Amino acid sequence: MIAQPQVLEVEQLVTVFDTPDGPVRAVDGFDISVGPRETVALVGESGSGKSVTCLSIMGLLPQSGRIHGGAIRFMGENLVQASESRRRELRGSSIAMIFQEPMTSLNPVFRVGMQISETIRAHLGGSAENASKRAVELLDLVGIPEAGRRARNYPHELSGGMRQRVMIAIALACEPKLLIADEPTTALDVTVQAQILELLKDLQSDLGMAVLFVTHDLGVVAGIADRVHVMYAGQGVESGKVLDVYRRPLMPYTEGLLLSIPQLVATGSERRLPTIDGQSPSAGLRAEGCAFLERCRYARDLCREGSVDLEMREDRSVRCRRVDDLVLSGTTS
Amino acid sequence: MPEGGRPGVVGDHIMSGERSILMSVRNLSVHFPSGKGETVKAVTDLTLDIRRGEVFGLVGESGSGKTTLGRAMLRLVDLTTGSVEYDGDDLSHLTGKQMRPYRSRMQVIFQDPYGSLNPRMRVDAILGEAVTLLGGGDSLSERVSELLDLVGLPAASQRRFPHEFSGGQRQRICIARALAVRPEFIVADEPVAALDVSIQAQIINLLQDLKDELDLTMLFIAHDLAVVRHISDRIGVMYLGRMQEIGPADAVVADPHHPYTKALLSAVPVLDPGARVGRQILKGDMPSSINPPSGCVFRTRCPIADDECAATIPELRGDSSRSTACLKVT
Repeated sequence: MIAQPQVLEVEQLVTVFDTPDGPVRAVDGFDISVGPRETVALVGESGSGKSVTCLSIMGLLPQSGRIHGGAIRFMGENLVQASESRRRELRGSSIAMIFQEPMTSLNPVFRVGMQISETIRAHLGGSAENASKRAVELLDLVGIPEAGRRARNYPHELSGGMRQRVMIAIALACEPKLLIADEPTTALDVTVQAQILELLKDLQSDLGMAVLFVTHDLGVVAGIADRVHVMYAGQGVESGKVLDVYRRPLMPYTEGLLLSIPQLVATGSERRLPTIDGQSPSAGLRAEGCAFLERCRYARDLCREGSVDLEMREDRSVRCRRVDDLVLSGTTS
Repeated sequence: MPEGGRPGVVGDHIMSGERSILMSVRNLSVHFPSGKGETVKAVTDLTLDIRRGEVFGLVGESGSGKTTLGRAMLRLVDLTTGSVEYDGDDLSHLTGKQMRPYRSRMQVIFQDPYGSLNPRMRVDAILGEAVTLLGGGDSLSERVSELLDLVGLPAASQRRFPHEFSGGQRQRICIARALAVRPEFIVADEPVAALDVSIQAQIINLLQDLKDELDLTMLFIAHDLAVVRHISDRIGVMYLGRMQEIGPADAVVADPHHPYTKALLSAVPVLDPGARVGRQILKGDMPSSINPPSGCVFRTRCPIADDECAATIPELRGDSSRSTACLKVT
């Protein structure tokens, strides 16, 4: 395979938060890359470190958090060493982000059209008139009917789906090379979610963006992503092409996630859902051995010692000592 | 229709294997003033029976009225018109005081286990309060231990505060509190929506086990069709305050009749990366329940609607096992 220049390359990222109990590694040596026009999904449960990874990439960590090690390269430039003003320049123009809750990400006291044109003028300059014209074009692009009239609405006058479309319009205002979408459809109803996912797919192929899509929903991943990374307790535990991972997961945690989701179509006479027992460990409380050990039904003594490394298997990676003697089940044949 | 039959009472065997109706909703409407002189039509002309031992799954998007229907069944909101009968007794016009005897027979579990537990009370006090307020009679500490055991929490949880538990464990506490008064009927309103995937499965299994063990009847409200399909015997699909389709869970999912059910099912993400094609995507948003469309409420987003649909309100038609409210479905 010819090495493609990556839009985003995260290498051995370590992000630390200061807590009353001392520093906690929310992200602990995580690797992920996104190529041009590629959609890569980052999957994990709450506390797995996926949102902190996004905030690290964006340079939006809260005061108590800091990048402790590793590299975040955007088009080859290491952002970890970049100045705050360089970060600000990139943020919102070359790298854009959309969040889960569009209501809290929009300013309630400004008309939505103005919130889009403000972004355009902040990054690209130009006249207010041109910016507002462009804002209406963008609202039209993201599928808002009567865009000219809607531009004059306040956020509260729009539905959840419309607000998320406005957020996407703001994100796209400066034609970013990388879009980070953090659970962008989680707060939406399923029919609206389908609309937004379709919109993101269309926009990506039209504009040629790289997309990092963060979600807890493996069904959404199946519908949108080319590759997937699974995160657990701040570390990557498995990655690969979506089709390969769903067909045959290599890590017991991935298998557990895939099997514990109720399926729409009944698969035989299943009555009980297979579960992953217990709950994710709190960040920073990791003991020796595999982080998933306590919840893993395949755990053996060999899983208890040292730290388990991420191993490469062709275009996949997996963090499991028993990868060679386990054959796990996926959701498709 | 057998009325007010308890298990074992004559009338239970009218249709072989079918049990008596526990919750009966007739032509129910619940309308709220919006504050601007307008009326929010949360539930309109809705009729539904739930039999003893049944799990009835209620699906629909936000604003469809499913939570209001659940609350109306428990008489947590006033009914505008229509009736709610529980075990043969008409609850429609009872006062708060008159409702008290029914409160221990009907309970509710909410979506947010963080918001529904008092952060300053220990678990034994939370459960003990429920036991003494409505149950009584039991030895308190014994009953609290029993409840914790029932929901799979260690006995040591008693002396802890809600913040010391994870989301899944907190939902177990909420379930234990609902069960404290030995209810027959439970409204579970999005009980797993706020939980992580791996924890969702644990709570769904727990609810199923408890339902079998305690012979509960349940209204299970959720927006996730796969979850509802998994746990329910029958499914009802609501849109803009009206019931659109009712049928056995597997049948509704495998062969939806109503165009809205079809669209809803089509929008559910599936775990198969190969199944990306041929999805039907609904346009637009659900209209406001202040000004619902004339005729069929779904017609503004429906792919097969015509002039007739704007003029006539479709009734829920069919037999006791399967019914659909659509003029175009015969």
